[in-house]
Amino acid sequence: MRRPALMSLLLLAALTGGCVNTGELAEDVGRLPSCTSKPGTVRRGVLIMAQAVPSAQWLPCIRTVPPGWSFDEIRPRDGEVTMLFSSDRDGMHALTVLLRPSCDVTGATEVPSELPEMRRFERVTRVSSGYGGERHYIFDGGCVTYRFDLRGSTRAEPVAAVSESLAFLSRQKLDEMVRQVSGGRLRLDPD
Amino acid sequence: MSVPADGMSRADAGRLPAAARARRRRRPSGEPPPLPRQLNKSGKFWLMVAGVAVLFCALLVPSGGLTLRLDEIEGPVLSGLAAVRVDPLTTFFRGLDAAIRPVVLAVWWGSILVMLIWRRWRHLFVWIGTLWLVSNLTDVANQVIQRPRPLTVEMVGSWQGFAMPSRPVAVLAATAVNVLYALVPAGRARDRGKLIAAGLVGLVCAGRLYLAIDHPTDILVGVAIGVAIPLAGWRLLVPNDVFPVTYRRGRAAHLDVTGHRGEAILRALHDQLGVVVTAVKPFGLEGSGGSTPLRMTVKSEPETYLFGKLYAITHLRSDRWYKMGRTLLYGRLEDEKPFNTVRRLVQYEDYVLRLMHSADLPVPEPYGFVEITPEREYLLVTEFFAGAHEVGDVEVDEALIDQGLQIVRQLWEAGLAHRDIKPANLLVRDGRLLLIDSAFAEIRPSPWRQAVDLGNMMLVLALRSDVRTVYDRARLRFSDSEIAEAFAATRGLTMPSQLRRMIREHGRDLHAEFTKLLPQRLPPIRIQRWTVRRVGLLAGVVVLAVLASQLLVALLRSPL
Repeated sequence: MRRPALMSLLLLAALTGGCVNTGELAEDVGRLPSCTSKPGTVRRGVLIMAQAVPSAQWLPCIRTVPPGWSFDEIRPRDGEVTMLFSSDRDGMHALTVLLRPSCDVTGATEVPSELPEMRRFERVTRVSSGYGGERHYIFDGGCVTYRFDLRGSTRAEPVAAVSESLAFLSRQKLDEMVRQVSGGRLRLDPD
Repeated sequence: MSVPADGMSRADAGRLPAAARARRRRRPSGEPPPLPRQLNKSGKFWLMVAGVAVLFCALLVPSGGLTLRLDEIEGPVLSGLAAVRVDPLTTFFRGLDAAIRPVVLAVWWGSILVMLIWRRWRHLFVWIGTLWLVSNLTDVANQVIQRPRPLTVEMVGSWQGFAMPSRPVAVLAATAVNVLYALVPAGRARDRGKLIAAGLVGLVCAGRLYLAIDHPTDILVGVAIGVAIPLAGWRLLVPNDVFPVTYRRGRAAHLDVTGHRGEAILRALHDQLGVVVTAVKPFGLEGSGGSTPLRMTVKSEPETYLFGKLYAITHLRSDRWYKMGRTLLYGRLEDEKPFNTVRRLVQYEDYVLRLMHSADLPVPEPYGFVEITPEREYLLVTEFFAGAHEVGDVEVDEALIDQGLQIVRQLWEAGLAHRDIKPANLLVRDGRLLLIDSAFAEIRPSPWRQAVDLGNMMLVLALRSDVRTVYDRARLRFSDSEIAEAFAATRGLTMPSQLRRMIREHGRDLHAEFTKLLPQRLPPIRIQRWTVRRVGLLAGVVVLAVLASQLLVALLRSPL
């Protein structure tokens, strides 16, 4: 390889490594952990969430991304998944969604849950300069936390819209999708 | 019939013994140069593998269904391994996998330390650059492909991120390649090291398959990226022939002239200059930092020699840094524009030497230069002053003083400045003073620079004689005002470091003694010049230093 070619490769890597917003890229090519899938496919982001927390019977997914918001990235690891969202008004990583086997709800208040399979807890940490707070959904084998760090002037106003855009997919449903797409040759979980 | 070589006059060729001359040979189009620069077969192989891996990854990007199809193919392999799991082996592979991160970090810090101690800056930059590249590329690929971990089979190890390509494997493979090429000398040690590294990486890969945390293809793509990128970096940017890994102390500027390069030099001299040389040895390395000086034995009876200066891309960069350093320190004194290519650097030195020679200055006879690797390595060939001694090692009488002063007068009349008059560049043979090393010489220099040549010459001559004699002899060739200008211009850093050191060792302030003899004293000529370029360069250096320190701190914490 000649030097210009190598330099081009280095430049390309620098650009892709440093400048490309992988979240935007994911959105463009259909890599959002979306609640719906095209026929014959399964959302990879949701699949890896199920693998990260094998006990979780419900998995967070995105219904739609609200206007002014963007999905940044998903960071999965065994035992925990983090999804990051940013807002043009409320700042970088204004919302963090966490999926874990359990969560600490000390100091949080239980409120009626809109989802019958889950208990919901709320904790407000900041009401000045925007809004800071946590919402926990606790269910069989797992817990999902919405962590808000809103820095805009609209305070807690976006919380409802953002919450509406997120939903849950059942593990059983996801397993059915995997089986269907693979013609029964694959399952979500080992026997 | 022998034919005079390109760049070598008929008279030049005639001075070499007949046995030393050979028919020159033009390299046909397409034939590699004497020392070709190449990736080697393994480098090309790994780049090809990496190319295939990238194409494979690109296929996986658009469709989630395809990754599931791949899972169907790879699943049985992982299920088969899972079926033979036993607790001790599971514990072992878990431990091995958990060790990757601390081991990579320990190797990272340790290697940086070794490269800093041995001042292998180029190796250091390539190491940091390639690991950064592998780490970022795999990270981006992970997020773009988003391949889940193996389905249907139970994962029994820790994992992080998406599966394709396997980032820990890629970083481990890149670290192994970097260790081999940055720290292990080429040859048997490196060959053995490759086997050990391959074994270690293979074991880790086997472990990750056993733990079912990676698919086989994740690992293959990880290895391809982890090996190909660093290997291409080392082979192209730090070729072993030019930047060998050794643990002997020595100047980095000096190139190894044994092995492939030694053979290439002999072949180039034969083909391009028509000179038969039987041996090439480094010569006077301690006095040279800007090139690799060589003594070349010419095939003849009795043995005769040629002198060679081997220039490589490293010397070009040294020249560039040296000139930039001077601009930052002093501003623009004279032509501080760096050379663009090694070829131009050597062409310039050869040309200046020819000018000096045609001006009847006592310089070595130029024989031209040969190309070793196009645009990367050239060898300047001149007469070798056998049996000559440095002027600092002999008694300097009036005859030598006159010759030294006459050299400066001739330089002035020819419109030249040597710019590096010091004891190491003035040789004495059979009572004749000889001037060598025209690397820094300048055509149509500033009057200041010419005056500095005179001042330095008088100081050198006074080292081994006395100030009064040198001064009296100088007045026969130069006016009082010219001598006064010389000492107003020559002070501090305008004197070569060797000359400054010898004056210090001499224990006398020769400059002050000369100044006392002057009928008129001129104020010292200021060498600090502030220009827009200097200010801009200083600002740029400060900004770059801040950015580099931030990047370094981030990388030192963790390359991962």
